[in-house]
Amino acid sequence: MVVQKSVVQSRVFGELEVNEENIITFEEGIPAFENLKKFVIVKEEDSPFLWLQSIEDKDIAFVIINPFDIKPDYEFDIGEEVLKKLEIESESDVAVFCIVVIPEDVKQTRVNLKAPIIINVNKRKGIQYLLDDERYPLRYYLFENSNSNVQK
Amino acid sequence: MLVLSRKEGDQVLIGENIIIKVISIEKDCVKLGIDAPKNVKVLRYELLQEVKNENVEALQGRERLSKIKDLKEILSDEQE
Repeated sequence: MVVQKSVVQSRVFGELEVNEENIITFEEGIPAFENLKKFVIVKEEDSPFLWLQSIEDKDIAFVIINPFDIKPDYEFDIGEEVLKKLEIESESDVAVFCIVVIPEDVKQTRVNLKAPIIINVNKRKGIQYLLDDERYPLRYYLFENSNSNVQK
Repeated sequence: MLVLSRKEGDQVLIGENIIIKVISIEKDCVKLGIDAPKNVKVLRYELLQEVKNENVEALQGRERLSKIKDLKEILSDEQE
């Protein structure tokens, strides 16, 4: 099989070489960005953070994090309609990320645990899934919840 | 928009298989029960709006990620 490569423009990374096989399709887009369907995940070196970069709009890139890195007991049920949409057959198909919001005061950095990004890594299909789950806040403050003694 | 008056215990049928039941009515709060097939997503409307707002805000902070890496280092230093 020939691996198709394409060069994607990215405001954060400049020119980004993308294997076609790494492109993740969000059929419904991402809330507020419904028109963008194709994304790629880029890893930051030596960092728990990753990027969800649109390949259709170089200006659209979300900082994301593996929620289990910050909240090991994070868990939720994936609804039947999502299992079907993403063609998820087993747990090994699934990767979960959460979008990170970094305000001007970076100590107030927060993670959206309420609406995780669920990806079928084998079929390369993704969705931002809205949980109506009281346990997980839309704004989970990263540093307030870390074990540090840093003064606020 | 269709506007209906319903009493406590009354139901509304939408399509063939979505039932909305008025469970209770208190001062400024109506409790609704919603019976819908599993492939129909039922969400509080404002949740979607909140998620959209967070997503838009997320984009504005991406240039600040390098600062967080420093902050993380500070945090981990102090933990030691």
